[in-house]
Amino acid sequence: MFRTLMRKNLKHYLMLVPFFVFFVLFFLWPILYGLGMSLAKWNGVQPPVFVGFQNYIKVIHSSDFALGMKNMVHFVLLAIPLGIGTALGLALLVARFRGFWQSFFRAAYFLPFVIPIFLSALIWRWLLTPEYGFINVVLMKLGLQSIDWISDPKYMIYAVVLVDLWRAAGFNMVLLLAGIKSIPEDYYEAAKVDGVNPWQEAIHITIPLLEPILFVVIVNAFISTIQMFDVPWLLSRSDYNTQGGPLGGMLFPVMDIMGRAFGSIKFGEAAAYSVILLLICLVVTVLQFLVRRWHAQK
Amino acid sequence: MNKKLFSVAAILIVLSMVLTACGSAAATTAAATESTTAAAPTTAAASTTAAATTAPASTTDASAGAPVKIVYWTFSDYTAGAPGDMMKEFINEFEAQNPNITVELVGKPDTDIESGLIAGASSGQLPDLFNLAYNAGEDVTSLGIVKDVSSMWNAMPEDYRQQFSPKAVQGLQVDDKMYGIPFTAYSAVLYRNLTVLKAAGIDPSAGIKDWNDWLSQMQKVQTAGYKAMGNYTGDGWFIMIFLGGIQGVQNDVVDGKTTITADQLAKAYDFLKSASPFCTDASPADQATSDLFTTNKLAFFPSGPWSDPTFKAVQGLDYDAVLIPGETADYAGGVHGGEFFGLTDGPNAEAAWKLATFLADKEQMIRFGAQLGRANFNDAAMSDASVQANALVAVTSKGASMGMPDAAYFKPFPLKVRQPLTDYAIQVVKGSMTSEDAAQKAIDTINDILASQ
Repeated sequence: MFRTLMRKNLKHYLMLVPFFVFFVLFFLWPILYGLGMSLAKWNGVQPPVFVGFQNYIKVIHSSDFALGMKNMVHFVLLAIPLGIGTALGLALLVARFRGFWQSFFRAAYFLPFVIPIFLSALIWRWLLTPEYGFINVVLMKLGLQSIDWISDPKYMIYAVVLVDLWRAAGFNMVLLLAGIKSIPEDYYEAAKVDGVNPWQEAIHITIPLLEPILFVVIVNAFISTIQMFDVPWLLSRSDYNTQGGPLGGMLFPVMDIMGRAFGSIKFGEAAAYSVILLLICLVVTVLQFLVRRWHAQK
Repeated sequence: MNKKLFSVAAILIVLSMVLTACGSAAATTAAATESTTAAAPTTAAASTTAAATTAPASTTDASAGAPVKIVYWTFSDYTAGAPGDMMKEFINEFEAQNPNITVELVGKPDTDIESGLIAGASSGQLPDLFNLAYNAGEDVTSLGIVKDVSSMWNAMPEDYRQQFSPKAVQGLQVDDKMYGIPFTAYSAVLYRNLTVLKAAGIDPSAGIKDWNDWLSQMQKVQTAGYKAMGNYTGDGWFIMIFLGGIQGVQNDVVDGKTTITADQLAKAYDFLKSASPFCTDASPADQATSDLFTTNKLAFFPSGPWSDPTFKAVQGLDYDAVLIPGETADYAGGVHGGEFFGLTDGPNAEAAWKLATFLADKEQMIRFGAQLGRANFNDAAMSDASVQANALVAVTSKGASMGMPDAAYFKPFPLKVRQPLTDYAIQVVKGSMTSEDAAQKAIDTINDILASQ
């Protein structure tokens, strides 16, 4: 049986070999290596020493872990509804245009996503500067107080949400717009005959039919917000020694991982933290799939 | 089908044999190259020693030997602009004197040099020569990748060794080992906008006596409608600028605890709180703050010598650089630090040593100091009249003898200890903690971090 199968499909298997070689080398092996590393005390040079789950215990009991998790949850709760809501709103708006203007707005909203992140962070640091940044100047003109977005721990998370919203909304909008365009026109024509207004059209036709793409966007948004790194790292001017700015107002788990690995040279702890983050991503994603299935069955 | 299978298998076997053959040939070539390269240092070493006995760092008789290529990592700002041009000039001169040695100059941000060395420690991708801050020295020496150069150092002539700052040399000597040669130095200075000071009715030539005098000048500046300074609470390094103004403060570790006391830190916090009503909320790291200074709207800008080229480039900006005022009149503050040349223990170590000794030598350091305004640990170069004529170098070299170092060097001293300094400074300035409580909490947190090492 096996020999017949092999004889019949050998060339197909051979064609799959290059993919599996790269998959094992660059995906599976690093994960397994990281898992092994998380159980060892290792500085990158001397041979690793097996320490069991000590790294996990150290990471979980550290104050930075609690702070990073708190910031992450706060950020996820703010950034996902705001980000997806904005992306959906923009997609619905842009979908109403045709031809040149649709392409123009699509490109304009997508632009922040392709701007190098260090440049975006620089621009935003300038915009958010207390007293003299554009945003604070506007606030002060409106009779409000200047806000120290970058250094005041009370506001630092909102600065990250703002920059992330500006950056990611365009990307999600393009995905959602593609989904909207794939909805057959017949539904809208039938709705028009029934006297449906644009709001009812969006609620009763577009959003329900967009569900598969919305699901992909939501899953992707959860994973990327849990792994948030570059925006807060650059805004808070973090380095391997100090991360997250004053009182860790912008400290996120991946930043802490970088600090442990290259600042404290504790690769075992960094790997343990990565495994914990991987498990969080996995649990959140599986939960989303389960909820979707449960919803579909209902 | 069987025939086809057989052909495929045969082709695969032949291919793998060819690849294996190529691999071993390449390995042999590599091994041969390695052994040739390995032989070169011996020649280079011999010539270095020979040259050293007659003329320090002279490389005239080093042309003999197999070709050697040195990879040299230095800070990005030493590979761009005027410092970059000067560094390339030094390297061209070195290569002309040593035709068998070529230098690949690689500029990296300081944190990338450190992380590159850490990552390279396991992968083996290390430079032959690198520059690193003294405060990061322990991180890389603890990995065992930095060469102990004590025998090479001792082989250098006495007058070559004598030209360096004894403190900087001692800083590199740990447990009978030596981890490199001293290179550049820095000290925080206070840039003053003279136009703003004059407009506020302050005579710049009178200087600033102490913190109280500085605060009264800040008040005058504010009354005249200007801002005194940026917000210096957002970064631990900024806090150290003021902490260094307290006489007797030591940034060291004894018995696993910091030597900075809560009383000293509380004084620095009190000063920052007193200064805050006259300051803008923008951090000195924000473009807005340096723009305020260059457009005559800000009076004081404490920073390092690296800010000088920006200010110098602004036409008509009337400014000077003075020592950071201390808490009392007889003392000046600031924080200071420095960089060194380190070698990795590779086959090109002798040639890398030759380059390091050449770059750190008096002749090169005079040009570096006089033309770029950057201080260094070569005392002989620093005392040269052309270097002393540069006002910024004169101030930074004086500042380096006071204030406090930016870390405990070559000891387990994670720079993460700077984080509590800023975390609690903010709470004092915002009024949510007293300076005494905040300082005590900061010191406790620093000791916790040190204990976790």
